[in-house]
Amino acid sequence: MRFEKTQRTPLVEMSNSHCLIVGECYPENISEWSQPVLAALEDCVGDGTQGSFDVDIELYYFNSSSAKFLFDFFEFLDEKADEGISIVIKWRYRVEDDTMQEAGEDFEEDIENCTYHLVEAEPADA
Amino acid sequence: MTIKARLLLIVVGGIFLLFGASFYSNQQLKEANAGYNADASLTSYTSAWFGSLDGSYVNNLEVYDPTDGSFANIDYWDFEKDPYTGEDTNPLHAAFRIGNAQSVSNFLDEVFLDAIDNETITFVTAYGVNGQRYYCNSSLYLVGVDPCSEDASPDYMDEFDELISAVGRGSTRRISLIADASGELPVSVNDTMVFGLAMPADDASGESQDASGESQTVGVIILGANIVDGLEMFAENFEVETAIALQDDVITVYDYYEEELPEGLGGLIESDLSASRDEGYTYSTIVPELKHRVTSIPFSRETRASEVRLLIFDNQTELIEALEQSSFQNQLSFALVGGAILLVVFFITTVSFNRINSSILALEKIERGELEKTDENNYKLFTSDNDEVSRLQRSIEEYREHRIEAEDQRQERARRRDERDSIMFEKMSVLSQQLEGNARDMLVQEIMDMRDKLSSGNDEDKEQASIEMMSRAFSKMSEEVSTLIDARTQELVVARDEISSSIRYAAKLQKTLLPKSFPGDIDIEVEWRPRDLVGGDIYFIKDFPDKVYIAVVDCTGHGVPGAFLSIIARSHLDKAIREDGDQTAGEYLSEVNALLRATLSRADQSNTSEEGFDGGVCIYRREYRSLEFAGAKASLFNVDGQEASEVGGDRKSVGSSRIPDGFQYSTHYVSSPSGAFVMLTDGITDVMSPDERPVAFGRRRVLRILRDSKNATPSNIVKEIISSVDLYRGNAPLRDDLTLLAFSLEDPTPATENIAISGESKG
Repeated sequence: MRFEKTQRTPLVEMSNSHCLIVGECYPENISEWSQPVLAALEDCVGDGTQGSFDVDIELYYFNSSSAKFLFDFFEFLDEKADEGISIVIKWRYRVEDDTMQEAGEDFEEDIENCTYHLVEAEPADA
Repeated sequence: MTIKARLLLIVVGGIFLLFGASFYSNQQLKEANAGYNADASLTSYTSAWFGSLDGSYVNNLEVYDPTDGSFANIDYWDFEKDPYTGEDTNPLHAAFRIGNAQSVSNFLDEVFLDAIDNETITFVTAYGVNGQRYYCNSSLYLVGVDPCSEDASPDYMDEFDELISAVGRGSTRRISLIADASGELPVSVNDTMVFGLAMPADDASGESQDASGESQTVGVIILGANIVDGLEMFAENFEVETAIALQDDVITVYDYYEEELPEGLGGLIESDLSASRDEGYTYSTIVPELKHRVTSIPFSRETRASEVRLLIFDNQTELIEALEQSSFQNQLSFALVGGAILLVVFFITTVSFNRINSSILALEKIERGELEKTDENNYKLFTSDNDEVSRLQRSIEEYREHRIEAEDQRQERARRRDERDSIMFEKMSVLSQQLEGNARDMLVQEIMDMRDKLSSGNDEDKEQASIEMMSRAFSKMSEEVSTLIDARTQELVVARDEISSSIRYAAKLQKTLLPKSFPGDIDIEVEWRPRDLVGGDIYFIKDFPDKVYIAVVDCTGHGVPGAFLSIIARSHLDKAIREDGDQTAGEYLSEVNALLRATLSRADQSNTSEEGFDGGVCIYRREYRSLEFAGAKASLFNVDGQEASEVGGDRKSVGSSRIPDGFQYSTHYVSSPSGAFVMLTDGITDVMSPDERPVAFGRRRVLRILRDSKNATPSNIVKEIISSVDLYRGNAPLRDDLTLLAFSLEDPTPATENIAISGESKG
């Protein structure tokens, strides 16, 4: 499953074992974009209690509406992790990007069952 | 002339040539054969005849030869011996010398009578050297003229002198012809021996004793044996007919016996005339018409063929018939084989050319476009699957299949084209109905013209017409479409203009919600920049005699929805203020949160959006010169001299469903506020660099600008931050509305302390 990147939405790639989100996220109407992505996530993670699921997120910007989407996204994963699936989330941010670093730290507070890593990505070109 | 006719002509010509060659070689062979047979006949007949003749001569005549004869007879002719008395002088010689015919007769009778009676000798004559005949005796049973008769005309008498001189050298053998002077009887042919009687010349002369010792011929004795018996025996032995050819006459044994010539013999004898003329006197030839071989040889060793010849006629009927039969069979078989070959060739060429013709017809039919398969003439004889014509037929069959395939494709193409054309017509018709007046009439006329073109002409014309129609339809439709697009664009422009004028008006309205005046004792500088004409950002300043509320708020969303929310937020910011009492900044923000959640019916979960705002609130109390701050995902920055600091608010958005019930925002106190303070929305910090993987401007850059600022007045700070942000973003678009508010509290007694920040939660 693949959602192509647009000016206002990130690239989303999803398989049965992996989810990648890269880019910026500030669509005009967040639910139009987020609902198919969340549905796809439900399909991919499924009802299994076995297996593992890796999530890689590298966002450069998201607006406050999109923050709600991200909360929903992590909430779903956290429930699945509670059901027994081993889920690892990597939140990548660039060293100089304190906004994304803080956002990552905010999300970390809400996550209980997933393994959550804040990962420093290589810095943007000076 | 067709190839078939030429081929047949060549075959016929070839057969005739072969026939001619065979006939010629057959003739050559026959001639060679005949020549060989002639030579063989000549040799064998000559030796047989001569053998027979010689045998008879040796047995009957040569025994009387004075030198070579039998001992019993030699003494008769010895001059120095008397055969009867034993005296030393032979009386016969004297009798010849003196011409005593009686004495000669007596003596010779004594010698020859028995032989004549026995017919071993036909006649005996004796002559004196002067030609006087002293003796003649002949057999009773002779044929032809009697040699002793008056009419007998023996040929040796014509050359008597030569005869006398010849006998001086010994006996001679010759063939003597004795003609009948009366002409009644045929010439008799006799094998004769002539010898002379000689005595010494002196005795012969009778007077002088000549010392020469030469002998002198005193008489000639001639013995003859008619050849008729020998001839008959020869004919009988060899089963042939014979004849004797003289210079001017031909005699057969039948002539002697005065019998009729057997049938055909006369013709054979006549044929000799022409044969001897062509081939000489010695020859052997087949006379096919008479079914005989005629062989002509010299009559004896002593005669020349030109004078006397023996003709032998042997019946060759069987041979000739066999030859003719074989020749006929040869020709017949040749004709049959030639005919058969011709027939077979004719048949093969007929079959082949018929098949080729039918192939040509099939090909011509295919060329005319008649592709259905026709009945083939199925020849089985003299054909095979691998011969040239079968291969040709197969190729034609393949060609036909290809043509059928091509035809199918062509029809399929035509069908699709028709479909396409009818769709095109339909669309054009629909289009024409939408038009009016002249344009409609022209299009209808065009459609009709196109229909005419498409329904006539051949495939290629139709294809051409279809393409033409397609391009015309396309250009017609594209004309219409661009007209339509122009119209729509016009509508859109109008609509857009209407909308943007509405929005411009809304922006005007939104601006009226912003504070129109600032308190006199606070230096405030604001940059308010909605991303669109209107936005979710708002700043709020409420001035009371004892205190001032300053808030900078970023409602979720931007544009029109953001603006709506900002109006709600503005009203709640207003409503939550308690003029009396000591409402702290935290309490105030918590109150706004409560009001907003109530308004947005946060209780029921049906509204899944996250309306609300982030923002910070400062309350300045004039009496205490104190400044307190509460923040929802917002900070208060302070710059004082070279020091810049940040007070972070709570990380909870106002109005958020994630805020637990009873949550209270903390109040942060600035005990001795000095320098400049900065509040901003995340439109500033979230300005993105124009990179592929952009990085937000961030709060750290804000702090650095504050720290590096040489003249940290509110207006300067706003100018520096905004120009830095604009530089940072380059041509990248704004993601959000942005608001930047800087203020400084005018202080009659300048601050001596740096700002101290203490956080205290009142929750």
